[in-house]
Order: sequence, then structure tokens, then C-alpha cells
Amino acid sequence: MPEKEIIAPPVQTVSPNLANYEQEYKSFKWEQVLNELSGFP
Amino acid sequence: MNIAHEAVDRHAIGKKGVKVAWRWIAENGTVREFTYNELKQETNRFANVLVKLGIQEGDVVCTLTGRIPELYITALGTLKNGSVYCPLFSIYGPEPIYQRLNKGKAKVLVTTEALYRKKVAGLLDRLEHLKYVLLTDAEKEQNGRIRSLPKLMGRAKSSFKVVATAPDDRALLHFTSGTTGMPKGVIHVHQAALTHYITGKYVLDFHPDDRFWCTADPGWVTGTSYGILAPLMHGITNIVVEAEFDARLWYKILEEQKVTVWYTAPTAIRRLMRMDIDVRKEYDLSALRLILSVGEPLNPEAVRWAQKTLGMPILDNWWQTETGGIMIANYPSMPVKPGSMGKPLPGIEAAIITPDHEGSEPALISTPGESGHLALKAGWPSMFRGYLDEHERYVKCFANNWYLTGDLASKDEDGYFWFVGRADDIIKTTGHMVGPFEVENILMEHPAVAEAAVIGKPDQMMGELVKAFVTLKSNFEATEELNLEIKGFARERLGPAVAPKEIEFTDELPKTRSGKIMRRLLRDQEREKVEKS
Repeated sequence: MPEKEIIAPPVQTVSPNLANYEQEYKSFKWEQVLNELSGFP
Repeated sequence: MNIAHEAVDRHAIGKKGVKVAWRWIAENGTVREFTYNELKQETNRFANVLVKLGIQEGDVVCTLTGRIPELYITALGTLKNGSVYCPLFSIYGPEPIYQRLNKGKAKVLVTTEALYRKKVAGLLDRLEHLKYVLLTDAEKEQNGRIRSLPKLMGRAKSSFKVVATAPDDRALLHFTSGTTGMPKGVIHVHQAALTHYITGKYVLDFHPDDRFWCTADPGWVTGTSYGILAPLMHGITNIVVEAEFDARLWYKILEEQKVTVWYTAPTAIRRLMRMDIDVRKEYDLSALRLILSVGEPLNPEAVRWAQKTLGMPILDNWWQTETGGIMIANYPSMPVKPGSMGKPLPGIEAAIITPDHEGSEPALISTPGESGHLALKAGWPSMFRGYLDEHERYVKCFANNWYLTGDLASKDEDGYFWFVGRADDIIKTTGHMVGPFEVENILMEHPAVAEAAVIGKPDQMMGELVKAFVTLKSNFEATEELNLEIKGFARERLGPAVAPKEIEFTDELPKTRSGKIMRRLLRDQEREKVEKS
């Protein structure tokens, strides 16, 4: 497990949708994803 | 909820109707585009074809084709009709095709005339459930059971009321190889759309102007979840390339199509690594901002190669046919630890557990770096809902609401997960447990090694000895000196207990269609040799 080696994330031209992993991981709810989809008309 | 509605119709209704959903590049270079509007109409036509043929909700519709537009139209039209879509690898021979069509009780097969004649025609008498074979390129109808898809599509209406499937209604059926060799039919439901969508957002990081290219074969689960569904759910442009791997063609596609997000597999990456191409000098890949990989663990060497050659690390992620979508990933905002699987997707609880979980809550391993079984808390939207007609086998995959993945892994102090190996692949040598991946990674760091597969070979003294099968880069010769040199190289880095005792040079490693190294075959081959001697 060569965990000491760390490479910086790729430089992005857009701001990543998941900007703060730890924060999003804690607050995430699947119900919120439903709201982003249209559901069924 | 209906996956096809989320992927196509909701965009076609809005401003995205005129946006290119698919840019299809044929083997001969011809380009064909479909806007979201056109895609809606074509998939509606296919759904109407199914209705006309009496195909109902829950009936299974299979494809046996390469990457041609009809495959994608079939997949989405089938979902619109509430039927179940099941892709088959076009490389399969007649018997695997028979096994899957028969086990899936497929009612419809969409294929090409050539594939039909070569692989399916001789099976028809044994396929009692199969009502229709629709030929994508047949001009004339042949008989009642064999139909011309263009003729049927030409007569079908372009409007269709999408079936209002329930979240738990069956949507997809993917066959995956089992350890017994018999294929397992993995069942997914419409609710899986939530995972497709959120992984598109967080892992593949889709933005509205992205041009996405997923190189996975459409016969594999990645070919459906990410080759079709996730990009469409985000209303972006999906590049589909009919041709198989060719290093220069692939770089050309990345350049000419201005691909921004590229999802590929370790096998392809390793093949690119073998080529001596000065990529950044010869190709303009300035549009590319994200490269991701899945299929089997990505060796650290490949991550470093990409950083040097392509100017960015490759982000590896982990999932299985059973999980329906990406579960553990490296995200664009997160530092990369080469060789790591990354961290669990928000909404996914992953843990390392002890193997002794029978009848009780599995014990979680919390010591950083300690290996154990990788498990996921059951209940995410794209979790498989069964193995077709094998309930007992399905139940065995769970222990107290944890899904047991069959993979061994560890978790470090920063929360990154590290793949160790398939539980079945672990080598037990003189009391040590050795994960093949760890050894393969080191071998891959030797300048002569292109690919490596490590197995346990039966041995009277050690139980199993670590044996490596190695393919060499084109400018190296398989000599005894090189063999000794690689052994020494591995021994220095891994120590004598873990380093391979035997190395065998080979031209090719056996792989599944999805590019996974078939260590089991190598192991069986070695066992046979040992038994005979």
C-alpha cells in the first residue's frame, strides 16, 4: 500500500461538481437526487 | 420512474432537444449524429415495434451487435416499453449466446444479418422463448420469426407514451461469469437511474458542454451504465466509436472530437503504454480534462505514466456488475494516491470486514492497512435485486444487511480504499496471504514488463508458490538473464516471502471480454501441470 505517494488532482477548467468530498459525504441524501431528476411526468 | 424518460425524453422536451446526444463514428469513418429530439423519436419507434410484436412489460429484449446506433435505440426503446434490456457480447460464440438467451427467456434478439447467420441461426430450434430476431441490416423480411428491423421501424410511429414503471420494476439484465463458469443473470431496476445520475455528476464530473467517450464494450455493464445511460441523463454529447482499439485512432478521436471526459479501462491503458508515442507532441489533447478507468484495478505505474504522458493522472474507480454503478472512486477534486480505489461515493457506506460473519453482524476492521473483505451497506438504488432464478445464490451475497463483494481490500488512515485481490485469487504461501495485485504492481514497474498476472502454483513445501506470468514490451527479449533480473527486482521491493519464485514469459495473458485478467485459467493450467508431473 504505497499510500505516501500523492499526486495532485488533475487541473480542471470547470469547477468540480463535488468540490468538498467530506462535507458532501456527510450530508448526502438519495432523496435529493430524485429532485434533480424529473421523476415521471 | 423510467430510466429512458430520464435519459432521453426529459431533455427532448426542453431546450436540449436540438443538442447532439450521440455522435457515432462508424468503422469506415462516417459520422452520424442524433439530437435528443431524434433520439426520442427513434426510441419511440422501437418501443412501438415491440408493442406491435406483442412484447410486454418485463419481457427480455437482447442485443447482439457491436457499437451501432441500433443497439442504443434498442436499449432505450426497450426501457420505454417497460421491457428488460439485456446486452450480449458480440464476440460470444453460439453456445454462450444460447445459454444467455435461454436463461434470460429472451423474447426478442436484435442482431445483424452476419451475426445471425454465423451464431444464432443454428440455435433457433432450441430457443423456445425467443419469438423474434430483428435484423438491423436486412432489407427483406425472411419469415415470421426473423424480421427486418428497418422495415418495422419504417412503419412504426415516432410518438409513444413511455410506460410508467415503478422504481423497483426490472429494467436491465446483465450476464456475468460465475466462479462455476455458468453465467449469472444480474437483475437491475429502474431506480438504478439515481446511481447513474449521481456518479455522472460526482465521479465523471459531467458539465453541460462535455463531450464524453466511454470505450467499454456495449456487452458489458459499463457499456450500458456509462456508455449509454449516465451521459444521457446529464444531457451531454456522447461519442460512440464503432472501431475496436487502435492506439493512433484513439488519440485521433480524442483530438478530433475534442473529448473532455474519457472513461476507459486498464487493458487499453496498458496497451497505450506499450506504444512509443510522444502523445503531447503529436496530438492536441487540450480539450481533455478528465481520464477515468474501471474494469480491474489500475496499477500505480499507469497513473504515473498518464501524469507524464498525458499531463494528468488517471482516476481509478471500483464497482461490479452487481452494484450497477460506481461505488468507490477517485474524484476530480481529491488528491490521487496511485493504486488506490479512492473513497466511497456519497450515499454509499463501504467497510472492511472479517470473513467470519456467519449468522452475526460482520466485525468491522478499523485498523488502517489491515486487509479484509470489502462490503457495502445494502440498499443503494442500483444494488442488484437478484440473480435470475438463483435466489439462494443471491441471499448468500449478504450478511446482516452488508453486501459482500467477494473482493479483498484495506482502508488507510485517510479513508482511501486499496484493492488487494479477489477473495478467490489470494495466494497462501508458507503461511502468508499474498494479494496478486500487489505483486503485479511491482512487476509493472520494471521497464521491460508490459503486463503481469500473478497466481498461486501448488507446491508441496510452501502450499502455494507465487508465480508470475509476464508479457514484455516490444523492445525486450525473453531471456534467462531478464527473467533473473525481474525476479531480483521484485525480491528487492517485495521481500522474499512475497516476490515471485517463478516467472514465465508469455505473449498474451488470458482476459475476459471486459479486459480482466483471468487468473483462474492460469491457476487451473498450473494445477493441471503439477498433477500430471
